[in-house]
Amino acid sequence: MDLLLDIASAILLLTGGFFVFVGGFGVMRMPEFFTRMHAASLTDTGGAALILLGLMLQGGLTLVPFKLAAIFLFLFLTSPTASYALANAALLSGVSTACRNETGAPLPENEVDSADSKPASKSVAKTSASRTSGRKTTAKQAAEQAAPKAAARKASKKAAKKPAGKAAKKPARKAAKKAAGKPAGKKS
Amino acid sequence: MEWVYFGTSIAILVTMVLAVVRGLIGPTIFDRVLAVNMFGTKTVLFLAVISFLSGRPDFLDLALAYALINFIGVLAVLLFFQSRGVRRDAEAEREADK
Amino acid sequence: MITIVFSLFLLTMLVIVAVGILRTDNLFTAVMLSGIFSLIMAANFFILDAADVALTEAVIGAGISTVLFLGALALTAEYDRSPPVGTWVPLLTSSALGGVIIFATLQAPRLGDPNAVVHKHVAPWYLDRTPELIDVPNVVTAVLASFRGYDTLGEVFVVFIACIGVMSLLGRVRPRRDSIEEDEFDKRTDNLRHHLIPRVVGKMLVPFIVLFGLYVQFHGDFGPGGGFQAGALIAAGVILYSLLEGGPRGRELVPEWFSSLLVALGAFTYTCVGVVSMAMGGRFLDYSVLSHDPVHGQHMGILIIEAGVGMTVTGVMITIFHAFSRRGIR
Repeated sequence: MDLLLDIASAILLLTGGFFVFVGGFGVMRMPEFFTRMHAASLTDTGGAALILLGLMLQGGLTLVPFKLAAIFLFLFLTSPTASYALANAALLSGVSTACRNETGAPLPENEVDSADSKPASKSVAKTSASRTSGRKTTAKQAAEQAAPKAAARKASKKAAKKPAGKAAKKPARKAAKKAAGKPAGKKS
Repeated sequence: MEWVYFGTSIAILVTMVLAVVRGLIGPTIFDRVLAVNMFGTKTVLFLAVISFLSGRPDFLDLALAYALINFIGVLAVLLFFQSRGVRRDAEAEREADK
Repeated sequence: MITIVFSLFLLTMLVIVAVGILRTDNLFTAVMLSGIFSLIMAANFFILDAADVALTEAVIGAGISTVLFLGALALTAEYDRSPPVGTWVPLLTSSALGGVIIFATLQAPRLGDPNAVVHKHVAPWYLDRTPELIDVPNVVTAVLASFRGYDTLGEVFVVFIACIGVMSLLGRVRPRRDSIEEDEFDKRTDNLRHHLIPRVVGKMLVPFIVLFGLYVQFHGDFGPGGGFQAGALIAAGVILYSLLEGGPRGRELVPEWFSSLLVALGAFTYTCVGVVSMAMGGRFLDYSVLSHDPVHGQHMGILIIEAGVGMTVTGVMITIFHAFSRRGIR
């Protein structure tokens, strides 16, 4: 019985360690911020779960497995939340969501629903008013694509600082706020 | 079981190094935040495994504290960028009105 | 053996991260890297068996200091200015100092050497007499709260004075408002209320953080923990709530008068224990006279002064956070 437990927890631990390593590898190798985040957050939860489960099997009938279960629970709640917050912060300050191929040119994005691409200002307005819906995010993406100065995206690796990127976004956001002023006020 | 704990902790340590490298080279600031967040989760796991490796599982309290505290910083980052973005827009608007 | 290898590994990483912090001129990057720095440090403390310090470093370094640094960063510019003087003088000074320190370490005893001077001085006495005199399983707590009660009192007052310093820099005054629009603007920007996921998860976790803080506070005699860690944890819970719901609501939850009262009250409680033990015929901070049984008196004294420490630290953290959030994290 003990041997079985040992084998099971060894398998879980080593698989977990592998997952964790793959996550780290992905964070190093992925080409774009959002892809890196995807690698980190997916393997984070998976690897953490496996390792903590493996340790739980070794804890015996003490307080230890319960503490590990608590850690497990809290990690499962906080880690995706942190990823959400980080992705939102990056999106807010205009890190480009467009994928690039090896040469640095943006890939064609088929999944962007062209029916959504209203005038740029309006769709951005919606996103800033209610940022919880995934569809609206695509709308913003579409808007950024449609914006004439979207070429500034090339510089978006340093988007927060580059004046070109700011200049492209400011008029849009400004109009957005005028449109969104009232509903946002109501919300808060 | 020793060598299993050892192997797992080595894997976690290597991942920590990768996270540190990502934090050092960037390129965007969000990559660095990502590195911090990832490093925090890895620290939780590392402490859990190490406490078993050294035979003191009653020190798991620390890992618990980390798991609870770690994401507050990222929320602060979100708040920071949210208000900075809105503030910059407001300034731009004010300038445009002039 | 394994632990020493791990420790060296982490220390190497620490040096690399420290160089990274020095080399960057973007302050945001520096804040993030110092988060990594304190996480490495905490893991290292843990490997070296210093669980209490590791807990402190974890809570303060990883949780609260990032928030406070970002608050400070919001009040200043994001980029470091180049140093006003040339780099030669500082470089020479620091290399000379580093050389002296390295020279000093040549004389230092090896890590974990049982014959080292520090292990021959009072440490064995503490270890031998703690079960008999104080009877708490965590010797660190016994040393910190009872044998070295003066030092801890000093630390509490250092924290207290630091709080006064921050308050005199940031002030209590409401910052000048341009218009009413500014208030409206604040309502939209200084909270995460429209981010559903962090809001739900965060509010779910606040009670657990505070509960865990209380556990660390009152379990400090038995496991790692004590007033400093507990205070930081409870403050982290309040800070999380204020981040999610905005500064004004956070100040409704723990009003500023209350947090500053806590700061003073904690230090006052600690000192009072000392004075009471003097009045009951003992020496300052000699808890043995507090009860008919000396060991019981020690327990009581440690409990009360740890509560005082916890109150002061909680109050200081919350007061400083409120001072920043009044100015706006932006």
